Amino acid sequence: MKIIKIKKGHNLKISGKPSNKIFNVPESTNVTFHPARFKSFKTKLLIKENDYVKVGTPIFFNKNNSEVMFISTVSGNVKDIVYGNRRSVESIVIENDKKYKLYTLDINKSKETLLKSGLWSLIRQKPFSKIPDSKSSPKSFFVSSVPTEPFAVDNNFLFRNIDNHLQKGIDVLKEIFNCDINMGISEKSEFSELKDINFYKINSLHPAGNVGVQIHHIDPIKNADDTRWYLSMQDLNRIGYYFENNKHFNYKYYSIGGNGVVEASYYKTLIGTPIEEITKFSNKNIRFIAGDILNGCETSQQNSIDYYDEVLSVIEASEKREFLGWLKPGIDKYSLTSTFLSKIISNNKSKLNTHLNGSVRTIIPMGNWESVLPMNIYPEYLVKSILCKDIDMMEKLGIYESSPEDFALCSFICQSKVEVSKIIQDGLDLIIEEI
Amino acid sequence: MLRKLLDNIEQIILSNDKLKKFHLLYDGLDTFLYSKNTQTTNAPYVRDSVDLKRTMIIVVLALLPSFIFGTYNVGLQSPEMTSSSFLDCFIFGLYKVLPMYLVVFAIGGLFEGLFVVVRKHEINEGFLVTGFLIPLTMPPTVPLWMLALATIFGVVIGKEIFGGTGYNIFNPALTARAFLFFAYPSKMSGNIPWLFPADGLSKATPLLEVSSNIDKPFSELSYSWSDMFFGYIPGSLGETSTLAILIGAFILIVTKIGSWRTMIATTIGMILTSLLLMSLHKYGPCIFPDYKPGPMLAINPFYHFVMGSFAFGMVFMATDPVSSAQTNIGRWYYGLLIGFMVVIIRCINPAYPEGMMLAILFANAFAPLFDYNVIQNHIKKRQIRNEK
Repeated sequence: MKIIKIKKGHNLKISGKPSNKIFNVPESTNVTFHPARFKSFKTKLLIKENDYVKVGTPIFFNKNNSEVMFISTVSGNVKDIVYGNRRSVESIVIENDKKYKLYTLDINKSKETLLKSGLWSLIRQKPFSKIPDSKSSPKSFFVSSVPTEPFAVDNNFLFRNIDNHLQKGIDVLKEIFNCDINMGISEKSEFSELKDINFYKINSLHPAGNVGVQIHHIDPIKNADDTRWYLSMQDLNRIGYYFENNKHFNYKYYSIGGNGVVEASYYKTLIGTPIEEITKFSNKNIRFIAGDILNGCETSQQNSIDYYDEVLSVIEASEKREFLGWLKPGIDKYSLTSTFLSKIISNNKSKLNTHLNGSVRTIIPMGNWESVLPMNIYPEYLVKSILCKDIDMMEKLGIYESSPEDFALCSFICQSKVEVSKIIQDGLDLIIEEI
Repeated sequence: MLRKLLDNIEQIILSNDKLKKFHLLYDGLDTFLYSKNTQTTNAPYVRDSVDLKRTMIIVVLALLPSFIFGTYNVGLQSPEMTSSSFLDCFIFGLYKVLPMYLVVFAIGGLFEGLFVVVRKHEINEGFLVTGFLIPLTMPPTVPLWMLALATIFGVVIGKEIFGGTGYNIFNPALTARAFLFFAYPSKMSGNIPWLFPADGLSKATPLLEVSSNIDKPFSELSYSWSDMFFGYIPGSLGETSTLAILIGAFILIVTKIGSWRTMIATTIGMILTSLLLMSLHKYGPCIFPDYKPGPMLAINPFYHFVMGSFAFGMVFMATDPVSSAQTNIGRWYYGLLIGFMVVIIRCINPAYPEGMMLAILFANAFAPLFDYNVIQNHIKKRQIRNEK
């Protein structure tokens, strides 16, 4: 078994870590879906207002990948369709009649079933972190059972407490795609008994749990067409559940954390439930981030949690301005660099908030980025090649192995407040446009 | 109170069209006094507390020991001073040094501000360090008008015409010094500029003493090694005390702001080159009977380390992250080149006894080439890996 030991990185110490409890969230009367929150997505709706949909009814798809369906997780009438700028579909609201009638589909172990049942949309590919084209097939699958981002789901804990259909999921994927399935596991893992799978061990220093980092160390991507597919443990479980029970598992276990949430914990939630119905939040000025705070996307509490996210981070925003802060010893400052006294004393008291903590400056190569990037990539040169839109150079420097989430700590630590992970995303978007 | 006043000023500036272009100047002052209130708009939604202001203030902190000793040494070296108590000498030194700082920061700040308004970029903290460095590289007797000229040259030609901090090719503080060095050589080197009063007595720096006395052996130097290490010698303001500089180096290395690779590589380059020249001094005449080696060739690496501005340049100038090599491998080559060049210029060149400034500027010019090679090599390795 291959062992990957990541030494560069950091696990953020941040208050509001979810406790090991699972709460059941009451079934919501309305569920919402947000096509506009997918990246580079041209929505085509399959339903109108007041249409009746069932669990598994396709409701929309992406015009650029038109065989991959997105489905409803409840049965009921379409209550509302909200449009945003340039007719983008901001949200689809479905009234839940709580009867969960099933949409009938011929189920066999084929690509076609995956596409029509909406399960294909759970799979994404590297490079580009997008849903793979319905006509393509992968070189291999990667599943990380040890996500390491802040408030990440502890899969070892979760799968001890929920029904496990992982083996079925693996068998189905193996039969349909006939390729290797690789899984990153921790030292003591619940999953080492699974069959037909290539295991590799990883440690828990973020970003070790990111699938992009794991692919980089196991089987690096060579070019734009050299794809590895990946999905989360819960989504693999959903695929297994579907083929075992011939129906969808329309729940998801969200890990909700941060100092803005009253009870940070795991929540078993009907997919599509608006955030405000899941649990209670503090009344202060808080920000909702779908996904982890390092790589999530800001959202509002009327929205449901984004499609692929298993984490919801709720953090208090701080408006306070500090007098001559740069001159103080900085005992209470959170920093990965050694420029504050908190480095020597302790970081425990220091608090993180949503301040940018400085002004945007030019790139000054202090070596901070490299100190948190566990990949054989020169981040400064990659970022500069993206900024001058030199695609040839980007390819040479390894853009296809790069994902924004792997560079999130570089943005975090940057003293010039350069948006490294956003620039990486821009570079990938540019390539998609050109191709 | 102060916060309210600032907010009122900002409103006045923003509401007046003519004053609007000065908003960036106001912003510089505002963010100098209070941490900026900007919230994160992109992931990651939390950020490290470090910013460029903090980084630069650490460099200034690292320079403080050299500044304090340099100021003290101005008094100590002056024949006018009869007392040798630390406080007396330091206060005497302050009288000479403070005007230098006032001039540098006033003139430099003016030109920085001009570029902020015209080029519409925010005030960059880089000048804090550049401004602190410029007087430390100068002889204490340098006329203030020359200092002002040098500062303008360093800020404008050394930095702003390239686009400001982060874009410059050469170290701005060294550019300023190089300007004076070539424009007014008599005020910058030789016997004259090291002592107050400037036109009275004269005293040579150890480097000059060795280079100008061909017949006197190097071992009969009028300063001991420990004098030079602790800094009781004439010289430019910040360069004399190697001990104070090493304290600064410790701060820079611990906070990871200065690259230890550059410092070590520069030292290794210097040691290897001076050993080579020492052996040439010793064995050269045996092999080539007509060859007469200069006295500088005999200086051993220990002395090179504490003489002149080697340590100061290595710790504070060579490690400038913008003008030095930017890859870790590149930094090794860059440092080796500095170490090599400084000894070559010191020992072989008959015109100047000191070579650190020129060595670093020379290596600054070569730094992008080292990085280019490192990156090309990296790309080649990637291609080989991908073809497997």
